[in-house]
Amino acid sequence: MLGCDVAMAELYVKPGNKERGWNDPPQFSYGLQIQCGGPKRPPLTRRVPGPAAGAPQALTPANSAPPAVPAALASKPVGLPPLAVVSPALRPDAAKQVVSLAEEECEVKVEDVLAPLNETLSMCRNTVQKQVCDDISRRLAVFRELWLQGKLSAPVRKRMNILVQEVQRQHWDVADEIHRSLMVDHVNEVSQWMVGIKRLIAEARNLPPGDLVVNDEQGAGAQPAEEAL
Amino acid sequence: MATYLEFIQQNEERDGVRFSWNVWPSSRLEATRMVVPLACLLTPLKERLDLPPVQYEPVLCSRQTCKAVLSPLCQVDYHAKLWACNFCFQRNQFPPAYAGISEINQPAELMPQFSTIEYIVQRGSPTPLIFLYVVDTCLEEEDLQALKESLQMSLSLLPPEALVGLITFGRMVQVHELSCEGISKSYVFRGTKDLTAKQIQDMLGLTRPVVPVQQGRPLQPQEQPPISSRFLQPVHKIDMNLTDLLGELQRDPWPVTQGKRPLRSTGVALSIAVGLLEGTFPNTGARIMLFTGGPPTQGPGMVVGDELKTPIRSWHDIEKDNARFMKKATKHYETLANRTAANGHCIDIYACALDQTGLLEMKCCANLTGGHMMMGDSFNTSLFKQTFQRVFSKDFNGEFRMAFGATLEVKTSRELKISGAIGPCVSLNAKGPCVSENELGIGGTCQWKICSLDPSSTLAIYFEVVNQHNAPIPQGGRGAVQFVTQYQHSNTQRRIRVTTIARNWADAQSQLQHIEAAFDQEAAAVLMARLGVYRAESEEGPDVLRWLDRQLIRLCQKFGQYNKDDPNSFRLSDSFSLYPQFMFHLRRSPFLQVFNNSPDESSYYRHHFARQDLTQSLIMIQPILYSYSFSGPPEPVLLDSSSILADRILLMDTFFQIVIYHGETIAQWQKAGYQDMPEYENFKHLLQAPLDDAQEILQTRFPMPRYVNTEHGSSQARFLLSKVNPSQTHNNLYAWGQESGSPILTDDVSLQVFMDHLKKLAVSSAS
Repeated sequence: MLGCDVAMAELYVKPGNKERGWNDPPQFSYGLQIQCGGPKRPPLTRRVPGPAAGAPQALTPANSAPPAVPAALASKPVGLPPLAVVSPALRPDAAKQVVSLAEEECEVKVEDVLAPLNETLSMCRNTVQKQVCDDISRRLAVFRELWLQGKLSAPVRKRMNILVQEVQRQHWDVADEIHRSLMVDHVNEVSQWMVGIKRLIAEARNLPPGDLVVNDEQGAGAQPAEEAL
Repeated sequence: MATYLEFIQQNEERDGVRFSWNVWPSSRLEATRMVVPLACLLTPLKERLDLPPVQYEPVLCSRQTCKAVLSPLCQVDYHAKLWACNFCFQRNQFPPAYAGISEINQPAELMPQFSTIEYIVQRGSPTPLIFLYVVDTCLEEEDLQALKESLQMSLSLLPPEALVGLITFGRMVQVHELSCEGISKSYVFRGTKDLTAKQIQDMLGLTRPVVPVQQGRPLQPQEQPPISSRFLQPVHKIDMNLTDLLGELQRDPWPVTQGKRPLRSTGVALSIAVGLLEGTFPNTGARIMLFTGGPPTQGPGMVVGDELKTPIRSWHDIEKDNARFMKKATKHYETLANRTAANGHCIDIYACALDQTGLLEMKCCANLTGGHMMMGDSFNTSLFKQTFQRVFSKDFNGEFRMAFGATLEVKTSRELKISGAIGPCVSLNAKGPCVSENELGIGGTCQWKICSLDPSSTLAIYFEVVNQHNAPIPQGGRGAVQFVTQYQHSNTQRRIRVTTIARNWADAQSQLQHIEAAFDQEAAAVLMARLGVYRAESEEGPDVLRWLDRQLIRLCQKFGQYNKDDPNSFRLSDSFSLYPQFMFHLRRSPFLQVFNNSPDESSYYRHHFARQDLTQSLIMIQPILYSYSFSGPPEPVLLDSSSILADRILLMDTFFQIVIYHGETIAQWQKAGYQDMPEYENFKHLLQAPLDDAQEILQTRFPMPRYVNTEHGSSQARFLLSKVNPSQTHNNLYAWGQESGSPILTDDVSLQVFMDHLKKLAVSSAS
């Protein structure tokens, strides 16, 4: 499944929108949400049996000096945390990867991304309705404009580059998943034009085999669309 | 007995069933003396990754009044190719396809490990799923923009063949005609006037199906209306146009003057949505998804007037009979909900606003149809966006977790009858020999309809033992129950899941210890809680608490070991030891205590309580509390004020909130920045550990919980302080001697006081 492949999906957690909802939960990227594998901790569902019915009430002894006085403690020295002498006996876990979002550099040129898309579109013009093709073309133009105006963030540009490569290789399912992850993670940047890409993938994968000229590094021949798992 | 815990767990894993009693009292009289009714929690579509469905029709008992499904409980004569129904004892011939079966070549449905089995049946051509968006445009600009984007995003999550439609509303209601060419058109309705289904269908120009379709019966190919209707189009055809249409949606143009609420015609909008689907696609899986940013203020179903100076009803208003619109509005939505359920459709409510939106009046729309209810502050929050995304989450096969149009039928062996069910369903009014006259929950039937469900949807089903006191049960006799759930899978296949279970009868006089040992206190707590919450919807709050207390006292009188009038001698066996604690927390829970919650909030909490599985329901009754410290791995601790210590971090899960609480010392260390110093790296790990665990829960739960990250002395610490047992309060602070934990400022009764009273009443010879 795709969620496990870092190249295909972003894996990040952003804080929620504290201005609109003051206990808004954090936002997980699409990649994290569909993750199927990964270390599964035992679920937190255990309870401690209460004082047994009838048994005398046993108080748990306090470990630290009980701070009975809730006075201003800023002035009172509170002691130091224990030093990190041994590795902590905490639950072993794999910390979720946090991909830094804004700092990535993206050297891809928009024409390199657009060319294969336009090529795929022209292959569709034989069988697909003119109106649909024109609509897709219009959205590709919007995409190009936004890119050139610098309104698309680096992750979006980077992932579009990957998407286009998958389209060239006719990995339709993979390309579709990338489009979906971009729609979920960056909807405000992509909503205007992404549906055109989505449609292009859907139409291209249904083309009769002759229409789709394979243009990939792996070799000639009209191979059936590879479905990556 | 440890083995019963294993038995209970194995059965839940295999069959998705938890019974309050796992050894059944053999007479009606004795069963009523057990106090907790014989009942079960059933998760009809429990996720079973190890259960591949079989691709043939189930074999049924030939007796017309029975029609039970062949199961491992049936006696089989392999030689004569006959089987005996275990419910009605009819001898049935196996169908010709079973000619080759033998003891060593059994069909799956006869094997004991397939007590739960799923069949894929081919019945008519598959119909696509339908999603009808009903969108409130009386939102703030920022909210409307966020909602539009979420709806556009959802088009990428819907299956390409699914049908999608759009209705927007504010002062008027607009039904958008979806077309791929030319100018977009819409039909506009006044928001003040309700219309009948026929009027709506006539005005929209829809042709009615010629043959009236019976509910529950799938459409035959020649009866199906044309798949493509002007208002509902396949996603793969309409996605680009609909994306643009959504992008162009504007706020409701009618100006809202100072001191007024916007005129919102939710009642008529829903009515039109229901009528539209009724006329075009009855009896196929469909979701009406209502997105609303405020209360209905106009037309049928209005919940409050448009003057801001008149606040929306509170519990206080309702108690004083001062909620003008409540009865009429509730009736409007109840009628809609019942019609929707009869059509096999469901209604989801996504309500995001800072004030109430009328969930109290509209709750039946979600509760009767199995639809979702989501309550948030704004559409521009992760709470809404992620919850909405998770509606479309997929399972390991890449298929949606949602299922549609389910009918559940329950059959019992003759010593049992069915009293009723509590959960997101409606009655199908199916009478039969299994139906009891004594109703609990939705009764008077042995069949219910659940229009929308997912792998966690859980129904509570209540039974009655009808065997007479002097009618002997044969030695080793077992009672049996069969649950048959027919439904439409999200991949549009029709499936039937059959679960058949049996339990031993026991004579309560001579074998009480066996019955006692097989008591499932967790299931019993949830089953009693559902009964209590069901009653709370129609009875006065204090009456429900009194009823709950009486049942608890009677249970302790029956099953406690004690000397009369000696409270200190009172003991409960292991299988009952947690039950009083559950009841204590239930009494304090938002399901039974409406204080401090608005009517909408209470409705929201109750909605989720009435449909979750056992583990989640218990979390809601008695939240989980884990403690993180330097002295070892995180451990569960008592939900008690004594667990709140200065050098601990607590993680509390109430289902609706995840709360991380830093003890006083932890908070000070964090402020001082020790986590950034390399020599105190273990402190950094300590701070991170509960965050990682919380993340695990946040990543999968539906609906998305609220996330509170707080510390000692902070105002948000109240989420924790109000849940823990207040064993230490300002009243008894100096009476304890050694202090531990944080005193809670409350006059609420503590668990200790509660238990003391309980013991006194249980052992009293006066009761």
